[in-house]
Amino acid sequence: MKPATKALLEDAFLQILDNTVFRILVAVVILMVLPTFLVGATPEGIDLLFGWKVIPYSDLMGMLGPNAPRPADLQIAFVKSVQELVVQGFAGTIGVFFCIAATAFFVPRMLEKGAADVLFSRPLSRATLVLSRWFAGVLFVAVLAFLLVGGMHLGFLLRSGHSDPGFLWSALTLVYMFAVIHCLSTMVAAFTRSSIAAILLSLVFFVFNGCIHRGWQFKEYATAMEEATREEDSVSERSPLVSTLGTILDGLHWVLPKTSDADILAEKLRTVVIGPDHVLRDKPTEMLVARDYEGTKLERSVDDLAAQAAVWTGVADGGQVVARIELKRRTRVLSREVAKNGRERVKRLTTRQAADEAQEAQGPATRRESLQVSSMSFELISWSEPGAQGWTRDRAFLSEGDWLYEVDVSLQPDWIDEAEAERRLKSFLGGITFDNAAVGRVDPSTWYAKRFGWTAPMPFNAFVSILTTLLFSLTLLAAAVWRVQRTDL
Amino acid sequence: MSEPIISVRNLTKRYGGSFFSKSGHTALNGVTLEVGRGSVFGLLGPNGAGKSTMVKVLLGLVRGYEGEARLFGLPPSDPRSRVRVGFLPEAHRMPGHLTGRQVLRIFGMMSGCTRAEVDARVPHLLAQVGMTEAADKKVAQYSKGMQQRIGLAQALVHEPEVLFLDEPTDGVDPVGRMKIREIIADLKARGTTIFINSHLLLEVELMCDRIVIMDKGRILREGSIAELTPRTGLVRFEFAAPVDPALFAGMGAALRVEGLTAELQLNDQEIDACVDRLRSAGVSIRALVPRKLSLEESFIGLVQERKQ
Repeated sequence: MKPATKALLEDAFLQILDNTVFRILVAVVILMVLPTFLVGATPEGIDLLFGWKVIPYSDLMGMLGPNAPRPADLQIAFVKSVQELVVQGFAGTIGVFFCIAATAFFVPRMLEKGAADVLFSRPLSRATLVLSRWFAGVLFVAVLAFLLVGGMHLGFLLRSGHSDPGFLWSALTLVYMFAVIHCLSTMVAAFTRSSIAAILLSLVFFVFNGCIHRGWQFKEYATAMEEATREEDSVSERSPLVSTLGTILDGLHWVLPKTSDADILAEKLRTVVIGPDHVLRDKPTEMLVARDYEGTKLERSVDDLAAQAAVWTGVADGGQVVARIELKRRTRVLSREVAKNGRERVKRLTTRQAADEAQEAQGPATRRESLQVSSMSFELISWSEPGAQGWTRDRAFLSEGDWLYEVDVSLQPDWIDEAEAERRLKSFLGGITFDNAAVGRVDPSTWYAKRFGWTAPMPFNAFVSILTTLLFSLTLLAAAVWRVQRTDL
Repeated sequence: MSEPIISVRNLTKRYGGSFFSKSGHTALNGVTLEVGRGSVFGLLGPNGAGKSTMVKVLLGLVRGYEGEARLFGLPPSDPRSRVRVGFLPEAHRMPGHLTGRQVLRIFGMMSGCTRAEVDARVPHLLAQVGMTEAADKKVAQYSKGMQQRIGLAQALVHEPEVLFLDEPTDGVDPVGRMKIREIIADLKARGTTIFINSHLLLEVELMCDRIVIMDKGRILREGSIAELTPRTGLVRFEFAAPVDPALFAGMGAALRVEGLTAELQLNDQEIDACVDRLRSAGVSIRALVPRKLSLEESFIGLVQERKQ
């Protein structure tokens, strides 16, 4: 590394170490990291101050009601919710505001008369000096972000035994988001030489930019919803004002940096690091199963439940099978016919009808109910097979589009008691989700996040998001350099 | 003169005068100047004469000029032209987050020196400017004089071949000024070319061997100290005891006798004759000083002449 580059790095580092706001933020970060070392989410419960008090999950589960997840899930949920609250809730909003305010003076101070004369008379280009100040700001946030995320990761690892390497991407996300905003701050400072202007315009931009992208997501969502519900031969008509606003939103969305994509990007990268967050994906319908039925293992990987059922089996210590869970999919379309108005009418089997059919085939059920688990509606029938050692059976039916899903649970009666069996069933069913995130099913942000990806179409493509954001940022930095190069000192 | 280190031809710099604001002013108006290696060059002029602008053009701090400016044969826009240059600006402000020692290290490395080179030079440099004790304090805590000393040290840390000093003794106490003069004399002895902007004409007279006097963006006069401070012809005598004015009868002109001193206009031959006459009359002469025009008188005379 050249001596001049080393000097600029050292100067940047000393500048942030001397910054009072930086010191305050370091103290705040330590205060946020410290609880992860003092409070642990252990398998037994929430452990306060190294065993001083342990709050069992059963107490918390009582508060959460009958749909409470299993303790292991609750432990992970606790850790993840704390991570999200601190990193996205605090650092991603208030933290960024503080960092903008604390670093906005870097460029104006460099351009002050007296300071600029000494610095700019060195054999360094002005572009290098401007970029060094921008880098100082990014370093400011990088130190805080890695201290926060790394500290929390270590705390959870040591005290809760939970390690999520994907969480470490959050630090990079924070730095990415700030680096983009800091480009604007640098440009405003280069043009105005005013810290106040840089702070105010950066904050306004941060909020405005977020609103534009949320607005665009909402517009896209509304358009998709309209298309999904529109009759084939009808033509949608929009007022010129709405069309113009839509075009403006499109233009702004393409041009402005997509900082709000940072969290989604972190999640995508996290998946790359730690692998998928599900044990089974039915590719044709994008149905996901988040976890195995507790105490069982998936026999083999299945990616088309209509072609082959997924089977989980539980084996006792002696080697005998004590549980068998089967998940399969079949069509529920009974008939299709064209009505007089030309529209197709489809007759489908309901989950209730499917449960009725099953009940008829199996004989009287000991239990029959409609079960609501994590926004999914299942029709459930339960019975016991004949004989003293007859297995207990549960069959849950779920419908989605033209498909009917069936979960068939067979348990050896002595394996677990009835209450535990019900909890495990609900936990398993609660892990079933659909990744297609169809309009109307989810909110616009979730719909956008689900469509967003490395191979998604242009407006939802992660590479396009990153490239347009980088292009915008580089344009701002180039403008800042251009201005400083034309400044007489 | 060997190849000039600094070369300026028809340099003109105008400030302001945009589309919206026609008013503006010309800071440099066709200045032509060449400075060779190893000289101490004084740049004099009233406020607004264009001295600082010329230095800033040479250092690439001011752009958008007409004419030609070269430093080591390179245009000021080329950062390489500043590798062997040190600069102490007027009213400079060193980064407040650094200590004096860090300022020297970082600015030295910015000029291309390795850390080891800078670390080897810094203790001697701090001792030279009298800042050893305060070297590890933050610059923000320094007095004006201390800032000036550390500013001078940062200009020297990379051992430049050309040094631009804008009001180098500003805010420095008399002992500090003497030290700065010693440093400049030492640098001159080592062949460093030094460019000094100062309002303190006595100091310029003491330190510089060539002077340029500027006003309103133009060079009024350029020359050595001897050329700019010619003898006036007046000779001042100092005696051990009061003398009779009649002893000077028929010698020179503009005689003025006061107590133990006498002053009169004499040429070189008349000085010898006058001394002979006084000595033969038993007068004890303590001093004989041919009076020269001071740099200040020369400077004020030139500026006023231009105004008229």
